[in-house]
Amino acid sequence: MLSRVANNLYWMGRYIERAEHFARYSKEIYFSSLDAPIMETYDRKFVLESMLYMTGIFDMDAENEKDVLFKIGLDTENPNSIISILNVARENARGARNAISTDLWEAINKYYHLVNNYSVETYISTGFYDLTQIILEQTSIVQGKISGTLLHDEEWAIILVGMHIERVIQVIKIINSKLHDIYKIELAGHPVTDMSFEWTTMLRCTESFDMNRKFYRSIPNREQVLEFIMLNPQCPRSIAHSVNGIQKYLLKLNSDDSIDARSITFKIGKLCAQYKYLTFEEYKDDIYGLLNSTQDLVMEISSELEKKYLSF
Amino acid sequence: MIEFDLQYIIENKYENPVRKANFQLLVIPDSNKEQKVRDLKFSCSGSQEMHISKNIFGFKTIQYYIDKPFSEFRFKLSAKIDRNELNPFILSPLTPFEEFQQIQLSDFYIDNYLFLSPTDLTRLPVDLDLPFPVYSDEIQIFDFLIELNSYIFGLLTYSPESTTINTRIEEVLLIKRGVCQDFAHLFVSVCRKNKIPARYVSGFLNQGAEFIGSSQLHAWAEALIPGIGWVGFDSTNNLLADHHYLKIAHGTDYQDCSPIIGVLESSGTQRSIHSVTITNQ
Amino acid sequence: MKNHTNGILDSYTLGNTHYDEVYTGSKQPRNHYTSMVERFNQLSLKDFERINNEVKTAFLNQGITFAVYAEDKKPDERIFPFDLFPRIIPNEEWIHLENGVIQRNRAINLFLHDIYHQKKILKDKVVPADLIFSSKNYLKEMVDFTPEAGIYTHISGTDLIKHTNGQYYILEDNLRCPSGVSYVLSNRVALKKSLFDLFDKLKTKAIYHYPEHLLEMLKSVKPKNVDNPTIVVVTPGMYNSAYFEHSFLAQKMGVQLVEGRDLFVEKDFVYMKTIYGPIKVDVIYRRVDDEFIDPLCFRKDSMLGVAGLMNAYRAGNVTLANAPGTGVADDKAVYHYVPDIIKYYLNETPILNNVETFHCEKESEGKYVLDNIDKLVVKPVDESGGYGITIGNRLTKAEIEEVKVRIKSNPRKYIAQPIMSLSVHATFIEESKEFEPRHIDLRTFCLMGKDSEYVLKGGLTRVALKKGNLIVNSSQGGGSKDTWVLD
Repeated sequence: MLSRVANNLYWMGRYIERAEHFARYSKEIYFSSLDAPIMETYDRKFVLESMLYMTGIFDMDAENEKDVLFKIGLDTENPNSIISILNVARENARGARNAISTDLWEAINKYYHLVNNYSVETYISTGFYDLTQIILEQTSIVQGKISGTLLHDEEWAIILVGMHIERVIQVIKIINSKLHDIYKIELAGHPVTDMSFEWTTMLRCTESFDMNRKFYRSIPNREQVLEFIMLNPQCPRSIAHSVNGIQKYLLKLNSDDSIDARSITFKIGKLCAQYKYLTFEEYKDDIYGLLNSTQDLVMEISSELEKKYLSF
Repeated sequence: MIEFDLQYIIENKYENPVRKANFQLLVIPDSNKEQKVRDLKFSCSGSQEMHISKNIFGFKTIQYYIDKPFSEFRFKLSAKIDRNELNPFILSPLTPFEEFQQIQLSDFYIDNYLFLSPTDLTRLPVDLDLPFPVYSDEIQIFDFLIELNSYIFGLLTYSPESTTINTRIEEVLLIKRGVCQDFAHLFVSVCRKNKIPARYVSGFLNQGAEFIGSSQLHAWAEALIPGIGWVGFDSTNNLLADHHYLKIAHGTDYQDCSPIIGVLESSGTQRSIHSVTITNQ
Repeated sequence: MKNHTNGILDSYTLGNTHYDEVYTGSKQPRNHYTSMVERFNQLSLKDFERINNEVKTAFLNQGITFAVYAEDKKPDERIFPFDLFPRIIPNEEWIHLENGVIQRNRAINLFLHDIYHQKKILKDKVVPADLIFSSKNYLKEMVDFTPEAGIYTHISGTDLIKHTNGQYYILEDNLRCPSGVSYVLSNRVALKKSLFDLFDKLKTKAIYHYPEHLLEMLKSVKPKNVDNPTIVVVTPGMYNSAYFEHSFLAQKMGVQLVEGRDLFVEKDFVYMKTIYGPIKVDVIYRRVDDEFIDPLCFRKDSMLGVAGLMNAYRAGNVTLANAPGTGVADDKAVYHYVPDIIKYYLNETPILNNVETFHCEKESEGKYVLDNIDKLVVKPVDESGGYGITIGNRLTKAEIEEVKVRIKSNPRKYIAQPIMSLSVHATFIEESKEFEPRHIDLRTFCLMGKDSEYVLKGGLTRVALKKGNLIVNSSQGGGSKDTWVLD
């Protein structure tokens, strides 16, 4: 595989994953707020600020709702908007056009045209739910084509490495963002019993609500939710599952399971082991510390991966 | 036979690190029936190996590819050259008219078209009104070329750094100054205009003889005289190229003979020093 | 709008001055079109429009598009318009074309070898030497170098038109990087999906194996001492208007699509940069123009090329398809000499017509020109860019006299050619919702490998969608049709 094509595939994976997380977070947080029991989360400005924070927009006041929705969704001038991210994903797919299957290419291209042809007017008036739903569905189709129409070789593996690295980063961002919201609410003195709504939203933002219910069969609370989306390897959205994914697909690229402490495989192996044998008790007082160190390590792995395989 | 010792050094320094580079050096003296190269050694500052290839005229080039960052490139070449002594004054076996007829033949043109067609660097201005020597079927080509050689020597003043490698003849004729490339290009252009095949030559000049231009790479010209062959003319010194001239390569103009070409991935400026030491024993 | 209940082709009005491919002068479908016309007439306008729209959406989703760049705007992605009504070529007509195209390209290869070696054709004054030496496409880097198996034009595109007299004429040769073949293959796939029952009535020759032939041809010209060559397609990048085609061909051949920056040359060998280190490359199907392929050798500012590629090529370590320097043979000026070139090297009569050229300096031809200016295009030989050209049927009587005076004063300066007109073909026009006659041409694709010659059956029928327009290029609002060679 050409290094440039590997670079295209890696970023294609990352951007497809990123667009999906942005869409899901915005959708869940927006619609859950409409009938939220707590005043703060009900407040539209609070919600819009949370959406801006998560999608990396820091230069905008959350005053006008339509402006915020446009900026996050269909503003091609904003490099962090969902449409811009999708367009870069598609450009990367185009650059690697002959390395991927026709099916996968057409799925990504169709996804691209659907979003690019979506009327801005409709989107900011009545189409917000519809468009985010299209994005989630098209992402599933693309993921299906990745697993079902590509030879499971290095090219396939590098896409999945990209997707899992991005998933760790986005899930950490979502947890951070929601913890931040919850902290603000707690400061305002709301009783803990009212908080299950917020924890549910956090689960929904990571597509883990149904799974969590099935696993615990009780009302979500702090410990249960954080343990689930950070440590549970059976939950495909959890950090533990995603770091395992990075390791699994990295080993497809490099079968040498190195004991050199500076190697990428060693670093990711160590991170997987940390998550495998960690209990909530051990880190409950320093959640931010764990999230930050995990994020730093994944970023480090990403940049070493780029140096080793993707530079040309 | 004269034995020369040659040392040639190039030092390039770059403002910003170069990430990747391809160099092509055209600096190895030619081996032909008049000169033999012995004990050729060359090396450079980078870690990769240098490779000898051939250019389109069959001259040896050194190819060098490096993809590790560097901010300095040093190259060093040394060789011994055995040069036959040569009397460049040869009598033509043909009459002026026979010579003239030869060069008018269309087959002659087709066989030598590369050295008869003007290039960007050897194109004379259309409105040229200088009293260049005139060639006709009544004079020997050799005599005409000697006259042309000395005319150019008188016309231009040798002046280092007065022109660059891209200076066109038009401008050289305007400022009436130039370096050895400009003398050679002008000689070549006038030859071609008169249907006499001519080529640009790069090489070294014996430093013991105190000629103009010997401290650096030198340039002169060769013209094809029917019945005789290629003869070298150095307008910079108003001389014929004899055993003091050590040829590297020839081509249609400077572009075919530039000593070093690099394709670099870098930004910023570079400084370049070339130094030549050539002595005979 | 007319009533279409009688069939969507009933309202078709013949163009009277041009050769109509589908109909005779009395609006009877030609024999080989009868069943096709019948089938189209069974479609209602509504069904036809639905199918037409489905095909357009499919092309867009497949990314069979080209980009049109405008300032300060997102590049506009357009599909290359595809007309559903196929162009049909009877088999015997095709065999004639195929033989003619092969003959022409065989001769052009011998010509290229000769002008880069002994130059016999120039010495024999069949082609003027100055015409060749003054061409910027004549590369000194190719002099005395013989490409593998002596092949220069591995892939060539010959453009043909059908004149009012029903005869094919060569319009031009494309010997550098002819494009369009991906549209040929995509058009067929689209037509099969949308109007599958057309294929029951008439049997067309298959074209899907073109990429296999291309791959075999590229393998056949591998450098000596290489057993199993690594083949790549080199593209200028995804912003090139033909990027779709480059990726299409690479994918269908199962080879890597690379850009100049993916390659490097070390010790006269070419390598591509992969995640596990360099891999040697042996055959390059390059879709980058000569002047950009090697910044060490040609344009120093080229970001698309590979430094040192020409050295590796001349050392015989890599094959380039097409060879550099082939452009000298598709110059407009050389076109007139191709029939002579065929006679000179093959000692055969040219099978396909060149557009006839009259040299005014020759007495008999000059007289014919003076007597028939209203039927001729008169061109000065030493002007380019269309300057000084007069088209006979658009001149007033006074202007004709002026042209005569000019030719008489300097007959050597002028050549003349008959006014050629492209045939027309029924084509669906979205604005009028009707089939109308539109001008078409045909680009054939010919592959030449070591001991093998192949012409894709049919080729790309390009259609000028604007009424009366003769320009069929995609950038000028042209479209295309599927081309059927009957089995």
